[in-house]
This record gives sequence, C-alpha cells and structure tokens, in this order.
Amino acid sequence: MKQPISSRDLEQLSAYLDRQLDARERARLEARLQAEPDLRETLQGLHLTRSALRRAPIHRAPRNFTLKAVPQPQPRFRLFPVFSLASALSALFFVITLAGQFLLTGAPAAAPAAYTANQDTAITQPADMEMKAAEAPQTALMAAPTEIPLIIWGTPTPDSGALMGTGMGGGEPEPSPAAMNAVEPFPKTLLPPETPTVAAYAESPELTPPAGEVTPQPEGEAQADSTRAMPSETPTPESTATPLPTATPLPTPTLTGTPEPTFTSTAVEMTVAQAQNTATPPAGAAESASGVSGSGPILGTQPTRDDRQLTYNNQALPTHPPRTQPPVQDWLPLPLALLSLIFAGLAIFFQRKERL
Amino acid sequence: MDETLLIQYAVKGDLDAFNRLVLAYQDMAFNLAYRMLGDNATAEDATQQAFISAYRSLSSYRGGSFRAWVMRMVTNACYDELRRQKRHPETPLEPENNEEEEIESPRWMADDGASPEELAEAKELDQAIQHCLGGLSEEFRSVVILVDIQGMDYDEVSAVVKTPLGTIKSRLARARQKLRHCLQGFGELLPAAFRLESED
Repeated sequence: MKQPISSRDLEQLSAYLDRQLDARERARLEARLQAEPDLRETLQGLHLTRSALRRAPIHRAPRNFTLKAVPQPQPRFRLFPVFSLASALSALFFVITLAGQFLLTGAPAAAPAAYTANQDTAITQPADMEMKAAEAPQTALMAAPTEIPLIIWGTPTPDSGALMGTGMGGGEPEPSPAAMNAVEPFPKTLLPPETPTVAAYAESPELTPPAGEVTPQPEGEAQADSTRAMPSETPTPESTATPLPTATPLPTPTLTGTPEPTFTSTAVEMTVAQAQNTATPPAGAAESASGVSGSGPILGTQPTRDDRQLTYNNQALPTHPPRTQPPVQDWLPLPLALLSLIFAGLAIFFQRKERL
Repeated sequence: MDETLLIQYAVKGDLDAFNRLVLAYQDMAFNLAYRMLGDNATAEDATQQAFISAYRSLSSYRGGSFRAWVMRMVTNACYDELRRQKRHPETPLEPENNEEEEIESPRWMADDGASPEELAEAKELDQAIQHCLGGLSEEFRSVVILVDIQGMDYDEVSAVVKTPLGTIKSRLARARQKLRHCLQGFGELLPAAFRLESED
C-alpha cells in the first residue's frame, strides 16, 4: 500500500520541477527519486499537471481596455477620516472618563486614611493636653475658645457620660433636671490644675488672663446673666465648683506680649454655651460656664469611642464626607468602549477599501 | 518605447503612455481574470477595473516589476469580485438542450475557426482545467495561475500576492497536487498526453 507523500516532499518535488532547489537539495532529492518509486510517480503526476496547465488556452482580451479619458474618482463621502477621528475622540473620552473615575474614587479612599491619621493623633492628644494643661494653664485657657467642642448625640454611657451631652433634648428650651444631673463633672484630669480664676487674677496683678477671658463684671450683673442663662435652679457641678467673678469691678485685663487674638466676651459666651450643652467644658471655660446655657439646636454624632478624643479633636472626623459617584459614571465607560471599538472597526474597514 | 520610460510618463499623467502599457498587458490581465473568475463578462469588468485602479494608483508604484504590479491590481480586482459574488450569489442562465436540460458548457456556440478535433480537445482541456481551478481556494488558484499558466517566476508571484516565497512554494505544491487529483477525474476527456495514471 502506498504511503501518502508528505507535504515537505511535495514541496521539494514541486520546487524541483521549477528548478528552485539548490544543488545540495537537488542531489539529495534525485538520490531519493532513484530509490523511491512512489516519489517518482508523484513527480511524474506533478509534471503532467504542470504541462496541462501550461497548455491551457490563453484567453485573449476580447477588447482593448485602454482608457479614453482620465477616470475621475467618483466624489463620495470619505468615511475613513470621519471614523478615524470619531474613533480617536471616542478613545480620548474613554480615557478621560476612566481617569476621572479613578480620581473620584481615589478621593474617598484618601479620606478614611486622613480620618485614621487624625484618630491616631486624637489618641495621643488628651495626654498631651493634660501635660500642657499642667505645665501651662493659660495655654489651655486660650485654646478653649478657639476650639469648638464636638457635641455628641445619644444616651451617655458610663464611659462617655463625662464628656457627652445628653443629646436627647437637643434644641429643648429647658433641659430636664434629670438630664442635667446626668451630666457628670468634667474630669479633673482634663482640667488644668489650679486654673486661676478671675478673682485670682484680681488678687494677683502679675497674672495676665489669657485672651478671650471673660471681662469681669459686677456681681449683680453677673448674677443677672447667670439667672438669664440658667433658668433651671438646679445647680450644676460646674456652677458650684466654679466661683463666679466677684463683685469688685476690675479693670479689663490686657494681654501683654501675647500675639493671640483677644476674644470678646460674646464669643466666649457662645463657646461656653456650647460647652455647657455638651457638658464637656474645656479647660478654662468652666469658670463662666455656669452662667450660660445652650438652648439652640445642637448637632452631633453617635459616639463610637472615647469621647475625650472626639471632644478635643474636632478635626477627627473627616472634613469631606465620602463622595458618591454619579450614577452616569458607572455605565458611561462601557458604551464609550464599545463605541470606540465600533469606530475603530469601521475605520479599518474603510481603510482597506481605500487601499484598493 | 522603453517600458520604464512609458511608466515614467504615465506616472506624470500621460494617458497615452499608460494606454500603451495597457495594450502590452491586457491579454495577460484578462487571462488571469478569466482563470480566476471563470466568466468572460466578469473577467472583462475585473480587468477594466484593474486598469482604472492601476492608473489611479500609479503614484504608489515604487519600481520593480511593472508586470507584477499590474497583475496585483488584477488579482485584487478578482478577489473583490469573488467576495462580491459570495455576498450576492448568482445563478447563471445556461442554455438548455431539447430535453430541457441545462448544457453545462455553452461554448459549443463559439466558433474560433479551429478544426473540430482541435477545438474539441482544447475545449475539453480548457474546461477541465477551469473546472479544477474553480475547486481551489482563491490563494491557491492565483498562485498556480500566475506560475503555471502565466509563466511568472516565484519572486514575481511573491510580489503580486504579497506573500513570502516559502508560502508561494507551499501553495503551489499543494495546488498542483489538488489539480492533479482533479484532472485524474476527467480521464479519457483529456488529451492522451495529459492523461494521468491513477495512483490506486
């Protein structure tokens, strides 16, 4: 039985017919032809086929194909440049969309990182403030008005009750006595030790009250303010612990050599009022907190950790809430990608047509 | 006039020079088109379209074999026509005999002036070859036509179909082998000189 000739041998035989083999290959093939009759038969068949093809009648042109005039290309709308441009624009828009999406999704991802970093800072901040308060009470007193303490909603827990306002009656004109009693006094550890009072300033002229310190008022006026600000007669720990300014009018203390801005008493009252509502009086604010109460709406968040951290770190929360992507950006890249592919395919198609 | 000079004039827009080139290659072009397409009218259209395309594309001619360049135009025109036929297949109207059966080859109506024996022999061979060529793929068909019918060498064919030389050799060998098997089926219809003995 004959074995089918391999493609390699077939190519060799075909090239041998056309004298396309070099001398070495030709000699090797001729040696095989002498020994292999099947190879010889195949060569003969290819030779006859080639002879038949060469003997095929030549069909002459039935007419002349000369051109009578210069054929003008038919004016037609060339779509290739259009689709090329469209493809390029579509790809550009696609890249821009992807980049925009990446940037938008990257921003919220960076916010939690900043939040975590702030939290880490907040953990160490109370201890730092304790040390600073112990070392420099005036610094703590001055820092109090500038930092708006965080007001937290929710039921105070044993851990957070010391620093968290009740929040249950936010905006209530008159907090209930129970709620007021629930407010625990500010931890002594967070208060600057031996915070000098206004009276102390009065007694000791060397002491210069910090900026923003409440200008001492006559006792009667201060009492009137206290009565106006605290409709509830239940004394708070702050009110009992913190002495009111004495009735002796004192000259307005001036800041000497301190670049900190001077706060008006109104600003201090606002800050103290916020501190009163949250029952988280920062150091230095407790002296005048008894005379001010907050009755306006307050805002806050549910405490999740030590309130001292949150209280003293009003930068702990992310300043920028996570952005939500517009819905259009979820599905926009897909049609743009498909559009780009379609235009690219059409451009290639018309380019191939143009080559003809 | 020298072909190179004619080409230079034609590239510059001389239509007369280009027409002289057309006259030189139109038989070859038409024969290639006919072998590729198997129909006179279609081959005419393809040939005409090829020369028009050649004139428009003269600026893209970068030297080398002008014959190969023209044959490439014809080959491309034939490829386009074959693709068009695949998209829009047509059924040719064949003449019928007295028994209302279609006559496969209406060439009996033509009169070339040759003797009946020669005419019959040539027609049979031509018909057999064309039939077998039609059974090849376009790529194999163009290569075997250009080499064995048109008499072009491998390098020219490689330039015409824009295919490496090794691929040309491979396609030619396989095309010849297929044609060999196909022509064996005609047996006694072929002239005695071309009758191929059966391998089996």
